[in-house]
Amino acid sequence: MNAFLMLLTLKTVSAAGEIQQKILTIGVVPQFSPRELQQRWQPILHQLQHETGYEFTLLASSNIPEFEKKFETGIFDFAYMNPYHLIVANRAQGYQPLLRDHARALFGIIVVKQGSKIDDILDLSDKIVAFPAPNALGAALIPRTEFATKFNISIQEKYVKSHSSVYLNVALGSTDAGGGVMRTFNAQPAHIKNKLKIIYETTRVAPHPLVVHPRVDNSVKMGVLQAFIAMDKTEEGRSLLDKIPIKQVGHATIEDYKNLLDMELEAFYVR
Amino acid sequence: MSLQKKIVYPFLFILAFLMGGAHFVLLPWAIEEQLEERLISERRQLSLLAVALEPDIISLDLATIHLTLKELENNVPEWQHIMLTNNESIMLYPVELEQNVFAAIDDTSPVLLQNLYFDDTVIGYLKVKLNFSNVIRKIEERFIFIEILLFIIIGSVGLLNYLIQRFFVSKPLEALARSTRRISQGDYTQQYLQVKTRKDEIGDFVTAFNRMAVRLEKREKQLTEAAKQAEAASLAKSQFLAAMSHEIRTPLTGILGMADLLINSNLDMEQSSWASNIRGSGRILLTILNEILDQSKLEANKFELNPVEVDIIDFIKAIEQLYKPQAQEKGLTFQIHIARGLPSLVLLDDIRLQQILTNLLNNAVKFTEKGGITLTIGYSEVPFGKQETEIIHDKGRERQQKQQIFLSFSLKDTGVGIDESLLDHIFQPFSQADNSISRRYGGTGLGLSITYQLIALMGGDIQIKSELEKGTEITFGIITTVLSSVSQEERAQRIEQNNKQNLLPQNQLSDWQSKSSLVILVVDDVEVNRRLIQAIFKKLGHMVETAVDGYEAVQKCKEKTYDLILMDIRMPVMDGVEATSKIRALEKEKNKAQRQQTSHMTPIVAITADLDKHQIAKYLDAGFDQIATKPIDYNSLFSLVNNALSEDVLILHRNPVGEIDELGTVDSVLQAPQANQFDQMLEEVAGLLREGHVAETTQIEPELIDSLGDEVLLQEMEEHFNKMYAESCLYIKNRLSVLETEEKQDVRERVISELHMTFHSLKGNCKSFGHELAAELATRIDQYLKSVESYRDVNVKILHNASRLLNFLNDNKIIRAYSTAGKKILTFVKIFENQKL
Repeated sequence: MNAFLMLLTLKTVSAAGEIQQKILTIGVVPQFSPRELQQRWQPILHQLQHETGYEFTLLASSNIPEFEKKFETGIFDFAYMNPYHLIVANRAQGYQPLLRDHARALFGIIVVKQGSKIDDILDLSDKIVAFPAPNALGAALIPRTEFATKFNISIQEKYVKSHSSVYLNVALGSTDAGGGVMRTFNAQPAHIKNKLKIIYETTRVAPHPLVVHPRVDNSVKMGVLQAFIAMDKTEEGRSLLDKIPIKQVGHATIEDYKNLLDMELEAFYVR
Repeated sequence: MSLQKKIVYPFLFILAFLMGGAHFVLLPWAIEEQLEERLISERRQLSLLAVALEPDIISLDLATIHLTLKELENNVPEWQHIMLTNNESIMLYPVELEQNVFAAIDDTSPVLLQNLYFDDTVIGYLKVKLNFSNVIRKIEERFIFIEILLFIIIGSVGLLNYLIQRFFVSKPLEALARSTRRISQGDYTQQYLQVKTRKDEIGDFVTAFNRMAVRLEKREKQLTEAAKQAEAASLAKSQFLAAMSHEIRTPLTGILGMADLLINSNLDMEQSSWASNIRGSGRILLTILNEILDQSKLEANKFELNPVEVDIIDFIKAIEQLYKPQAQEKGLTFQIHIARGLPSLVLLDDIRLQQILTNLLNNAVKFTEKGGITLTIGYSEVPFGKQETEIIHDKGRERQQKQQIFLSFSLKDTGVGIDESLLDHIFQPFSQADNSISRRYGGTGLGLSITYQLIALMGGDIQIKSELEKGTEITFGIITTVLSSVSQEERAQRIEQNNKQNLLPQNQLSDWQSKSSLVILVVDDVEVNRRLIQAIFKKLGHMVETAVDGYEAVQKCKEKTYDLILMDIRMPVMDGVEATSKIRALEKEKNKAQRQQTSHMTPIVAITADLDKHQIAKYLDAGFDQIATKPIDYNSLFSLVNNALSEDVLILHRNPVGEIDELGTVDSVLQAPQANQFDQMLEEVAGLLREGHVAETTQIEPELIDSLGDEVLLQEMEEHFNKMYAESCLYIKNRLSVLETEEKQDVRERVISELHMTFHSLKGNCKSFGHELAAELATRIDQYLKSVESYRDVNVKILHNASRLLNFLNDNKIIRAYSTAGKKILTFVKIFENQKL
């Protein structure tokens, strides 16, 4: 009887959940233009809908502050964001990571000009260091935090708007060093890469997670997770996931981001 | 330079000038202008770029800067290189820079500099290397396009001009030039009619030209017509002359023949002299007729040469024989020089060459009063041009390796000479020349014209040089073919033989005898001719029958067989050729009927007045055995008859020297030499000479030739003697004329003694030089003058007669007593002795 009730309740809840959460909202950090985001994400949402039977809609944000405001107010049911945002979102709305890329780790690099006398982070003291932007997680936020907290040096920060600018400034000698990530470094043309030397890699953290709002039913959460895992297993799905980019879908917990939480990045986050 | 070129060249010059100007002046100017403008505009753009880049410099957004500048470098072709440095001289763009990129600075690639500011502080420098080669290229391309356009426009204007000029001016002019050439060559069918309707200057010109051509054509037609008429008239005249000459010749033949017979009949001296005159005049008339006939044939281009094998030495010797006496008679020297190595046997028309030389020599002798005549015969290679034509002429005939030579004759006299003004006309026929010549000198005036034309026919030419009162030199040459060259010795031998042969006097009818009596048929339509031939053969003891035409002759042959037939060619009813073929056919039948092994053919000799060499073959085909020509020369006729008979039936019989008494009867010798008898005798002898009896002219005794042996020396001596002889004759005559008027006895005696001495020396000289008659006469007179006691008693009349006779002998070159004339004189001289004068 009890089991029957349980089953009934479950069914009722689920039915109610189905009705309530008929349309699920997804937010994506505006790392690309809204149009490009749409192109990358819409096929995935379509696939999710097909797998789970739920309806998904992509809520666009024109810039990072708008995105931050939206997840802080809990508008998104699901959201794809950087690890620092996860910390903020978790604290504000209790968003939990659902899945992440298990193939990669997120870390920053410090480059200097090839042939430069600077070999160590400590040499960077009072030197001009170029960063794309103050809050860029791998390229600026983590290094800056580590410079201050881990190495106790102060530097002159120069925000040069893009990763490419960072590498150019370092390569041409306009700045003494620069912060970047491995992916953008590798994307540089050879004649620039050849002029650069990586002297430091920051602490590695888990990469961008897909977070879920606590109000979303567990079954929905599981359904979405299962759908991603299923996608990861088909060739068609893999090509869709590469665009996010996620190389290998895996379950994520808040525990995965523990070291990030310990870093106290917020002190260095520029608002 | 042609008109077309004159028009096209300025166009080409203008074109070249304009294109050169555009390319070498306008183009650089335009480029400079354009570059200046572009530089200003590039500078403006650079300053704008600087302003745009300033924020990115400040924010060090190199990625954006790189993007922008790379974009500029890639898309603005003029901006070849851009360099951006900050105020610390750190290069911000590009990442790497080739060395010296900004170093080379010239017009086409200037470098611009621009400072970048932030609040009046220089924060960087922008350096741009521009490249205007594209700009320049574009301008150049545009210019080339313009130049091509210019070329096409001016070129087409020029071409159009050329074509217009060519079509409207040059072509009509060329066509006109062609027409003019054709018209000048006499072709009037090519009038230039094409642009008649064109109403421009050329059209007017063409119209005028055509009008002129039409008039020219008309005029030329008139002229041609006139010339044709004149030619036809001249031809008609020539034909008339030829016909007339022929017609006159036939009766003349009769006259001459009859005169011959008359002379050989029993006539007294007076009658004989008249007959001789008839014959002499007839011969002169015949010569004139022959000249007219020759001239007519030459004018009508119907004259044909008949070259035969001639021994040139013999030929010249014969000429000498004819003229030396004539010259000497006038007291002139006559010399012949023959070039060494002269080929003796040549191919030439000897009759015509003799005619030429006769004409010239007659004149030389006629017009020379003192001095002498020299004939030089030489030879040389045939002049190039003449040989050419001769070879072409020779084509088709058998071409043996016959050498041709140019035989030249040079006749020099010391006569009266010819006025320079007449020299040009001298070789023209009487019809065109100044007839005062013929009026002055007698004759037909055709001789030299014929001579000239004959020489031309023989492939040679004639030149005449003359000076009044000094003499004349005539040189001419003819082309002959050498048949064989004879050595000097052979020639000498031949000359000797010739001399001996020429000792033989010309034969008289009475010199001929017949071995047997023949039955002869004489066929001629002209009675005189029949009678003449009949008389000749009857005199020689033959039976002669006559027929008036070919038909009668054939009829007679049917009835009777003759030993010989003498047949005229041109006869009415049936001519000689037809009659002969009929007679031959008759004989064939007869022979067949009698089945004789050896066929009998009656010898038939043609006798014709006009022998054309083309007809000889025809006559021989018809069956004639021999062909004789009129007027009848019985010497040649008899030898032809002998040939036809294949037997010498008619033979020469001569009275041996010494049998003189047979001629003069004892009675006549005993008669006293009366004055009239003396005169009669001289008249008789003169008549004989006029008739053409040749008296002996060789004066040298055979012994003398042998003893001297040297011909040249002999000749010199002979000439010396002749001079002396002539002088003696004249001297005697002069001395006697002195006696006529001189009364003083002692003077008369002295003159006679001088005459005696002269006769005495003449006696010896004449004997040594073989002057038989003169020697005889001189001997008699010498004896007579010796016999008288005193020169006072001398009968001057005898001396007068002796002088007359001596001069007569000298004038007529009578030397020896072989001929009739000589015999007569010798007889007369012997009377002197008998009468013991």
